[in-house]
Order: sequence, then structure tokens, then C-alpha cells
Amino acid sequence: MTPEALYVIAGAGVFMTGLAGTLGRAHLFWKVLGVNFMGSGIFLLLLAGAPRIPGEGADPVPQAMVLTGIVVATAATALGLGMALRVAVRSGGPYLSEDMPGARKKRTESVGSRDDHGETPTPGNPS
Amino acid sequence: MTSVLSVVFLTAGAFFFVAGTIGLLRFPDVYCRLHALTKADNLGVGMLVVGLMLQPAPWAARLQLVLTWFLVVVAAATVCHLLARSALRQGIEPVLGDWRSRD
Amino acid sequence: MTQLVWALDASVAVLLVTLVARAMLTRDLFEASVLFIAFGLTLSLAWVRLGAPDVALAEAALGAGVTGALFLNAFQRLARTQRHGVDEGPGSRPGPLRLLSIGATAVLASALIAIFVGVPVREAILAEAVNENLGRTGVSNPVTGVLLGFRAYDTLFEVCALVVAMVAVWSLDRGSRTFARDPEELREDPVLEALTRLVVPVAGVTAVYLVWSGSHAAGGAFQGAALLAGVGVLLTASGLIRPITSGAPAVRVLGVMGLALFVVVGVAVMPWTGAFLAYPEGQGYPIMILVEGVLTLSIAVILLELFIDVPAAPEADPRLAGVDPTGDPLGRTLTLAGDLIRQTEEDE
Repeated sequence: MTPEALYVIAGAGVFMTGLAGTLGRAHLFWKVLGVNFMGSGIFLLLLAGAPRIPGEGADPVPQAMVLTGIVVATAATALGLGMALRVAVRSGGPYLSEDMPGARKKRTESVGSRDDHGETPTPGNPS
Repeated sequence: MTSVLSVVFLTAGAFFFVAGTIGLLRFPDVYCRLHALTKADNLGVGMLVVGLMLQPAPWAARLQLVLTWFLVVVAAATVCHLLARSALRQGIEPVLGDWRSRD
Repeated sequence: MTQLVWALDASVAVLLVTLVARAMLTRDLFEASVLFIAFGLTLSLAWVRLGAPDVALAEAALGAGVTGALFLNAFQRLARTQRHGVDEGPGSRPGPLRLLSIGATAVLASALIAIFVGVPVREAILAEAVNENLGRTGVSNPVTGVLLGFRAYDTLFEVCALVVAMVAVWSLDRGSRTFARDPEELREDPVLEALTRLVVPVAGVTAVYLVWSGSHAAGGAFQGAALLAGVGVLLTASGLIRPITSGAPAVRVLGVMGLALFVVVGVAVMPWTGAFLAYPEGQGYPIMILVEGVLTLSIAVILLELFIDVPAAPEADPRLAGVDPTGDPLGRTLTLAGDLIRQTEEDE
């Protein structure tokens, strides 16, 4: 197995772990982290899958693309973390409102019960 | 002759890094870990730099290595101080006397 | 010997995936931030192994350095203001939905691997085209030739994205309460001050060297800018300069200057070559050096502003008098709009 194939597998693995974490974790900080890892995984795929000039290094066009990608990822991470902090300041915790600790418990507790009107309580209509 | 000496220094540097990492994993509190890590890593970096300087290279590259080593040592010492000061301010008490490793 | 090198590549690849898995599974914010920095440095090593030294420099400076510092900063704010240093939340979504999402991502990853490994690598067509035409740009580093010469349009929009991010971050209230205080209050640690006094001149010279060396060896504007941003962070954290208020006029001018110059240069070459950003033959080098230099300063200021959050003290700007310091223009606008909409709905 060539070294490039090793890094292709690593890149796909990093991307997959980042994506699974972004979807799975409710904490906004980890969502931003996961998106960052996904980006790094894609960069690995781009450069590990690129043709190489023997003796000179990797193809310069993907290198330039990855450089641009790293810079934009940094800026996007700054904005994402800033928004996560803003959500935390305004709503008391770094979670989206449906993921706040306690909201999920209220939902699962009331799912099995029905109130007098015969309606199942929904998140928008607590009872 | 120089290549044998270079390999000896590089191996010694790697050994010190491993020793520092073992200290990081086994010591009971922040201060002990900082102590082990900073001391061992600085020594390890010094050994690595000496080993690399013994490799055939232009003199400009060797001077760059010395400059790199100097910056790494200064930065590591400052970071160690800052971490220890921050731990002290948070109220982390150093573990005194006999202790057993965490496992 | 090649077995040892292969073993190095294999351990780096395994380390990359392990660090990501560990970072995404932990519940401690600090641990995740530190693991991210370690991942960035390991990735830098991987770039060197893949023959991309420019990308390795940028990853170490920006990916591990600036982004890692951003995560640590966010952790510090969360832990201090909200006591959320640890994720106490619900964790992953329960049951079948989690298995389904993991299964889907595993299928996607396998497909990616199959595509990249199975398809035979064609000849380096683009690289040959770049090498043939590199002489026309005036630089000898092909990556810089691509970034600032052949694909300068992409770099222009990249700087646009940076400026937009800076403005967006300014409009957020991230919960910082450190108004621009007297520097004497912040100068409390002599060791940090000594380090700063020692490192700042060295780092400044190194940053200029990195920008200049991008024309013939690994380097470039972004790497130098990241180093300069680090210098700015050191100076502010050690208290040697007064923290610059976010959105101060000088900062705004410096931040936009690089983008403005880029656009002006792009338009100014049109009478000669008829196309936006098409440098005249052989004139590429002085134009690129000029644009790169100003761009470095600009991007350094942008990165610094993304990192530091010093809202203007209410007493400083009379227009902010009477404004609740926890509010922000965007939030108040949205609340006002919501009230208006609710009012009109009630009237109907």
C-alpha cells in the first residue's frame, strides 16, 4: 500500500469521524470542531489523491486550494465559535433550544402520557 | 564517526521525550507532570538539535537549528510557568508525601 | 529503510484518526481543544510527507496555532461565564438514529476510499501546465504562482471571506467584559513580558522573511500573517500594549486595506491586458510583492480581530450611552422585528 493510499484512508476516516461527531453531539462547540475535522479530512483526500511530480512534491494547484481552504476554515471557525458563544450568553447554555439539558427529559417524560384533551404534548405545545 | 555520534544523540533525545511522556501519564498532579514534561522535553530537544547538527548540512541550516532550539526552550519554560501559575490560582493543591500512581 | 518510512506514514495516519476520534468522544472542552492542536501539528507532519511544505507551514501556523487558540479562547469564555467547561448535555441522539447516521457516514467514507484508491492516477497535467507557464509570473515557487498569479481571483475572494468574517464577528457580542482597560492593570506577569520582549522582534523578522521567501521557496502571505497575528496576541496578552477596541477606526482601515488594494490592482491592469487581474507579461513579480505585503498586514489584523474581543466601553462612545452592554445591534434588531411582526398579527 503506497503512502498516498494510507493518507487517503486516514483522510476518509477523519472526515467520517468528524461528520458522525457533528451529527451526534448536541454541544455547539463540538459541532464546530466536527466541521473543522471534516474540512481537514477533505484536504487530506485532495492532496493525498493528487498526482505527484517525482522529485518535486505535490501538484501545486491542489496545494493552493488547500491553503485557501485552511485560511477560510479558520475564519469560519472563528465565526462559528462566536455564534456559539452568543447562543450560550443569550439562552444560558451552548446548545440549540431543543437540545438544552432538561428539554429532552421533559419531552421524553411527557411522550408516554396524554393530557385531558387527548393530545400528545409536542415541544411547541407543552402541557 | 560523526554519523554514529549523531545517531547516539538522536536516540538519547527520543529517550528523553519518551521519559517525559511517561511522567505525563503516571504522575499524580499538574505540578509533577509539568516538572517532568518541561525538563525532559527541553533536554530532549537539545539532544535532537545536537544530533541533527552533526548531520551533513550547510552551516546556515545548523545556525537555524540552534535558534530554533533557543526559542523552543524559552517558550516551553514560559508556558510551564503560566500553566503552573494558572493551576495555583485555581486552587489546585500539590500532592505531597507518598503517593501511588493512578493505576 | 523504506519499511521504516512506511511505518512512519502508517503511524501518522493512525494517529490522525485516533486524535479525531478521541477529540469527538470526550466530554471535556479543554481536552478537545488540546487534542485539536495536536491533530493540527500531526497533520502538518502529514503535509510534509505528502510533499506540500507551503501547506505544512500554513497548517502549523493557522490550523493548529490560530484555530487552536480560538478553541481555547472559546473554552475559557464558556468555562468562566457559564461554568460549562464540561459537556453535561444529552450527548448523542438516542438509539436507531445514531446507528443510522454512523452507518451512513461509514458507507460514505468507504465510497471515498474506493474512489481515490481505485481510480488510477493520471499524469500531472495541471502541474505541467503550471511549470510551463511559471516563468510568465516572475516567481519560481509554483504554489505562490498559482495563488497570486494564475488563480489570483480565488485569493481575492478568500480575502473577501476573511473580511466578512471579521465584520460578522464584530457584530456579535461574545460575552467579553474586558473593556479597553489601562495596560498597567494587565501587566502582571514578568515571565510572560520577558518572553514577549524576546520573541516579538524575532517573530516580526521571521514573518517578513516568510512573506519574501514565498516567491522562491515555501512561504507566503498567509503564513507570515498568522505569525504576525500571534505577535499581536502575545503583545495584548502580556499587557505591553493597550487592547485595541474591536472596530476601532485604525483596525477597520488596516483590515480592509489588503482587499481594497487587490481590487484596485486588478482593475488598474485592465487597460494593458484587457482582463481583470491579468498581470502584464514579466511585470508580475513587483505587483505580486506589493499586493502580498499589504495583504499580509491586512490578514494579520483580521486574524487578530477574530481572536480578540474588546467591546467599546459604553462611556467611550456617546452613541452607545443607554445601550445595555449585554445587547448587540443584531439581536436588538431581530427582537424589534419580531415584536413588530407579532403586533401586526394581533391587529389582524
